Amino acid sequence: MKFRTNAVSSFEIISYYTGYVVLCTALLMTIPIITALVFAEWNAMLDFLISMAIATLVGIALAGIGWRTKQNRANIQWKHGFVIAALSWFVLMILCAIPYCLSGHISSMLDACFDVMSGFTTTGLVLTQDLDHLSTALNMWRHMLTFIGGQGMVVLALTIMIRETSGAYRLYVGEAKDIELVPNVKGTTRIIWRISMIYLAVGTAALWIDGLIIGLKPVSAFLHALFMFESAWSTGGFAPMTQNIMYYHSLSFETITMIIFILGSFNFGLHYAIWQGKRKELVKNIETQSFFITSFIACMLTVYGLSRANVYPDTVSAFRRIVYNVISAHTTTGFGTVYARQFALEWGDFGILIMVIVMLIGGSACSTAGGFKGLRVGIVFKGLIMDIKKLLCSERSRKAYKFHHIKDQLLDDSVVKSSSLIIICYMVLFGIGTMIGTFYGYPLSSSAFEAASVTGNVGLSIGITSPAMPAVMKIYYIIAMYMGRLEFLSVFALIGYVAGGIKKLCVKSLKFSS
Amino acid sequence: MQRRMNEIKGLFAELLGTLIYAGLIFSVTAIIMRG
Repeated sequence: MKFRTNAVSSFEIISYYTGYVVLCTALLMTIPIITALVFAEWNAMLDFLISMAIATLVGIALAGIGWRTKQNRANIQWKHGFVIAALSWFVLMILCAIPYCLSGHISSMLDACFDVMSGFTTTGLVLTQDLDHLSTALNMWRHMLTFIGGQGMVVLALTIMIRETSGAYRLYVGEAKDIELVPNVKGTTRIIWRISMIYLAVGTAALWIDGLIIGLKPVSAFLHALFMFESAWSTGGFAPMTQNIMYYHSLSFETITMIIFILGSFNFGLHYAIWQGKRKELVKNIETQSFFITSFIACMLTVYGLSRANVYPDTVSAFRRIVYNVISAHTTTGFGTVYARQFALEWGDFGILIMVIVMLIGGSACSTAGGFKGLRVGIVFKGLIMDIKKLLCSERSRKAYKFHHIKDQLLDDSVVKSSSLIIICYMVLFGIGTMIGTFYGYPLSSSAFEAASVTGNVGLSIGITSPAMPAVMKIYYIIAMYMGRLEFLSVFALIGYVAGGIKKLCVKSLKFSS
Repeated sequence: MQRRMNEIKGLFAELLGTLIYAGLIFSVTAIIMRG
């Protein structure tokens, strides 16, 4: 077995599987092409045909370079899994941006890449101009990207895979998902899709009916329902209209989307456990406990703070404007029921601070949500209590501490340490983002708000994100969304792999010249 | 069949749990706004 792995180089393995993921994505472009055909949007259809051809060629080239991987059935090692996940996301960002560029709704390739990364990472920040007049095909593509990005591009490729590949689990973990619902990865990825598709049917139907009630035409109501569900379930934040969720002017529409994005922010392991009959998991799980406690406290503090300032006159408007936005931020969705500048002008520093905190905390691990996750907050909090208890009790009476996440798990120092490390990485990413914002002259609170939004893959904006913002900020925000979604390890592995390759090349050229 | 039933019950349990939570937040919001 070792001979096989050595015979095929890491480069070939990475190239083959990246090509495979790219080909799967190229195949997905058939959906917007069919949409364009149905709605007679010929320009959009041509855009997607060109994009599909380019993506297919790139995919075939990459898979062709690494073809010996298939012939020799080479094993995927941990380093390959991480690098493939990170590299696939990067390559796909560029390929999926092509239809945006061809549509004429975007001013540069950088803006298109920003929007695609925002979709993939389920962030929801938008640089596309004139959203209200976008073709149905491009809208379908935008929302598909965010829906698939929520479950994971690699997860999708593994689901489509004809047979189980050795080392597929390493690919799966590379995309920041580590839960095993059934013993094989293919089965696990299929369960993830099954859960999402059942909710897609239920959620779209609910929003469609509500859309009809609030006065949308049947076809338009269906498309709006589908797009809004895809965004809400994947905690994305994209909407087909510029006004986002405010376009619908409906409490019922807002309530349904709120329920969908709360459910979307839950761990797939939790959904599966509840669907298997373990319904107590909903209240026993450390992640749901952490989410319900932090979101409840955040909502109440913000409502209390803004009620003192008389920003909103009654309960219903407070629920629709405050609670909705706080929960949207906490689940890292990014649907907003107030205009971007209202956060800065009406909410004040206290409101903004709470939003920054909840955006950074985020939803659940192994879900569609971003942020440093409720599981890690719960673990660090329990770890702190464990340390205090250890300090206060005698050495003899020390016991093992546990936390409940699907099953009882041992809370030891290594678990607390790894959770703390990821939280520190998020805080550094957030800190740099805030610093860059202030460097370009934006106020501290606004810079912090926007940095938290990109780091936690939220998508709410305070008004900084626009096509006019400096290119450096756009690039940093892309990096922050990318690193935040993949939870650092894969990106670090890719950087390490590229740096190692450059070092080898330098050493070789030095040897050759000497 | 049993599996399907469990899934449907699970789905309703999740929806109901989230609705109850939203209702709880709405109630406390009402108390704070009246206070």
